[in-house]
Amino acid sequence: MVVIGAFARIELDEADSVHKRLDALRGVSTFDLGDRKKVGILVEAEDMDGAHRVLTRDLRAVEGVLGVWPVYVHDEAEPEDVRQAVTGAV
Amino acid sequence: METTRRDFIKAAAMTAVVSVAGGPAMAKAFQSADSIEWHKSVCRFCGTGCGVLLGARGGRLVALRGDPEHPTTKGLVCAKALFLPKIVHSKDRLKYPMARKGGKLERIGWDEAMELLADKFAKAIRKHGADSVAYYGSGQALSEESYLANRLFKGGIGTNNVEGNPRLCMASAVGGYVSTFGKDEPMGSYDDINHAKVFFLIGSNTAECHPVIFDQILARKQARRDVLVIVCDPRKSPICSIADVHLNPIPGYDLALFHAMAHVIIKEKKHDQEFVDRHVQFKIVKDGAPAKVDFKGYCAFLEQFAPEKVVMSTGVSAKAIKEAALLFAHGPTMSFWTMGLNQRITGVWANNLIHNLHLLTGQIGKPGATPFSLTGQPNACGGVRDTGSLCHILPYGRVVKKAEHREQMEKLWGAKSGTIQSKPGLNTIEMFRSLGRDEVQAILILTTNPGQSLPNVTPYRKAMGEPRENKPFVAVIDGYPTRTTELADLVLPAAIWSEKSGVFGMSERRYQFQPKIKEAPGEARSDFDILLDFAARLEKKRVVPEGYISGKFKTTDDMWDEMRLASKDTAYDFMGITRERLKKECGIRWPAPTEDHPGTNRRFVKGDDPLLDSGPYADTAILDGDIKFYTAPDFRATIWLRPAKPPAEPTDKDYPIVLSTGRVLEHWHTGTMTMRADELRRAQPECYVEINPKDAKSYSIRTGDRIKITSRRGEAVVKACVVDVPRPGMIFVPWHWEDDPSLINRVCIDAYDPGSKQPEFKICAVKIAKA
Repeated sequence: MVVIGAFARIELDEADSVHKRLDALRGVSTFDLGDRKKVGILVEAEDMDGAHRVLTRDLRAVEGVLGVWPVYVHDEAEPEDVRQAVTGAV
Repeated sequence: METTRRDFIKAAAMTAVVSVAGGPAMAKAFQSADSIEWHKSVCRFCGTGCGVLLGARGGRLVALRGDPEHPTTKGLVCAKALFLPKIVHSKDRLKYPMARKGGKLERIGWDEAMELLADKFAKAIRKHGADSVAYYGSGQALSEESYLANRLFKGGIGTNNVEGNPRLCMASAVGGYVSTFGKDEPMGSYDDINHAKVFFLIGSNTAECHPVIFDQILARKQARRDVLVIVCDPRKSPICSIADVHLNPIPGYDLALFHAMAHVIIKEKKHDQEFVDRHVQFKIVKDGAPAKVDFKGYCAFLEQFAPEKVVMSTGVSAKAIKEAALLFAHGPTMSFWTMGLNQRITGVWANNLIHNLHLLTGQIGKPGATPFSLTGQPNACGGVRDTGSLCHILPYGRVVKKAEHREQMEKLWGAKSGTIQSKPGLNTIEMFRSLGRDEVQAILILTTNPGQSLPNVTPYRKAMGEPRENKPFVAVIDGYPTRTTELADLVLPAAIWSEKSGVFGMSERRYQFQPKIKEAPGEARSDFDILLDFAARLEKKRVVPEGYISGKFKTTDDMWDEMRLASKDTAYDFMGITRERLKKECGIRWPAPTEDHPGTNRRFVKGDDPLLDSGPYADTAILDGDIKFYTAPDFRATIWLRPAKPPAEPTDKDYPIVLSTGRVLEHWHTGTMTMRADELRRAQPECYVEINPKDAKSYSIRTGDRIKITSRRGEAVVKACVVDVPRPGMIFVPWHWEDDPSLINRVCIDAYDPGSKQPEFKICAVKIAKA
């Protein structure tokens, strides 16, 4: 199990539709950051390859998304002592 | 149970996102779920210099977070940084010294290794003189390590054969700053991003190569609808998604474009005549020497570059040129550039012409108005440029040609008078050519991979590794096996990043401290310790004066104090950046001459720059907010009249396509680190070539086809990616892959800028065919 927390900067005029488009992606859910120009994103995937693909390809391909910055990564597949918790990432 | 666990992790992820992206009030909301010990540090990758918090447990690096308290990067890092803990713990790490015996690298002890290194160097120096040895360093070494190597070679051995890989990436930016303003390094800072209304991004794939900077530009553009972006790049890289104007010149023909922008600015009377009259001079090179001209002369020179006259040569419409010029003049304008401008035989000139636009419009020294060269490595600025660890310079703005500068450094270093040579040493390309001619007889390569990264790499690989009589001795210090270690006679395993403590200096003149957090694997040692050991052995062999280095320094802390002294009363003065401050604060921007100075946001501006208040550059006659280019001749920056010189190898009927190389989001430089993260390697598993659909059609190429790319120097075979990104007539290949069919630097040209000596990686002529 891999969970990535990220945020995206989005086109202000398309905020509502971007939320919908992101939520429609498999393994992706969004949450509010109190700023209509940004949206919080959770990516859940079976493995890091899948999560990385969603993060660097699928999310960026959504119309109205200007950029995606990962902030936190949890890779359960790793042994506990080498798992990575990451905040503040692109 | 699974649901609970997953929910817990999701909550932690959401909290982390909110802490970084939810605003300053929430910045401290993140709490680690585990008992991890956190250390303030700096990212290991590019020159953005992101502040990070590294989590350690049980002697292992287990986590990395962006540091939300960092004043400029504010908790952001990039996707590559995410994998740094994994990369550091890679199973591939070099752990033991190895020497080539019977053609193979075999493990040996440290004492044998160091004795071999010192012996080879001492013999070469005794037999062939000091210039028969060389050092090739890195913008990834600590500042103290580069300074120590420079000190040893120039002031101890007595050779200026000191180079580093920033020659391949930043030298033209240095040449541009020095020839326009008198000294290296930008005058502005990242703070200017929050004041700029126009961003001019030239030859920079900021979105993928400096993603945290890209986020800040994006945030600025989102915050104000009147913030506009001009992109100048022959490739539609991801930053074009936010471009209001995209100039896509034919690669290598953009100098005329920049002159044309100046032409428009003057014709439309958008220049700042008062600023020009007070702070600028105009020069042209005539008969090999700079000659002054006046503003009228500059205007007359620009007539040949009227927008309508350069449409054919640049490939850019007159309308787009005019639009970009007027936006630029409106400002406040911040220019960012990287390798698209630097890696050229006209790199210095291209840099000059960007500075020209800022000087002509007075878009400089004001909030949001500055030219700013972004850096590709974490310590090219602080480590190599500032410490003077290139063949022609000495620490902190000094040059080997000036007797006064040599004397200053000899005195500080305790070197015998006359040890530092007045003639510049061999630049990078000439250093490796000399190695191929067996003239340089011993070379020490530290934390860099020239066996993959040099342009036209095939002859240089032979120079380093081909067995022959009198073959020079090649020693490599690195943390990982590379295409260079495979050629070496001696390989020394290095501690990297969080395994040693010292200073990185990033793009905005900010010096930042990184602490040692974990032990290096196996018997690996820090470059600093290796260099100290090397120096002591050279002293014993009497090719370096006894006590020149040994006994003076034990740690990088000791070295830092001497470096501060070396900066005193120079334009870099950081006497006030003590080790204690560095450990406590999130870096400090020089100049900072006193311990109570907070660091300088904007150089050359009275009220911001402390060097205008006291010391050798002080001027009490000017008012707060006034500009004084105190490092420039006559205190005037120079607008240069540079010809629009074509690239070294224009296309022709035999080689009709332009090859340009660059980077992708997932990988960094030769992939030495990023290829060690399985996920990053799998995300971009193989090299590819971007081909414009128009060219693909004429060659009947489809995505996935294997394509042979051939130049006059060599060939590569990679997978085709047909995409409307490069302009027609141009292909683009990322240069991260080390396998032979993908090794694109076998194809690239090693012609270099006569001023900066930086090679033209960005432009060469090739032909393509299905493999």
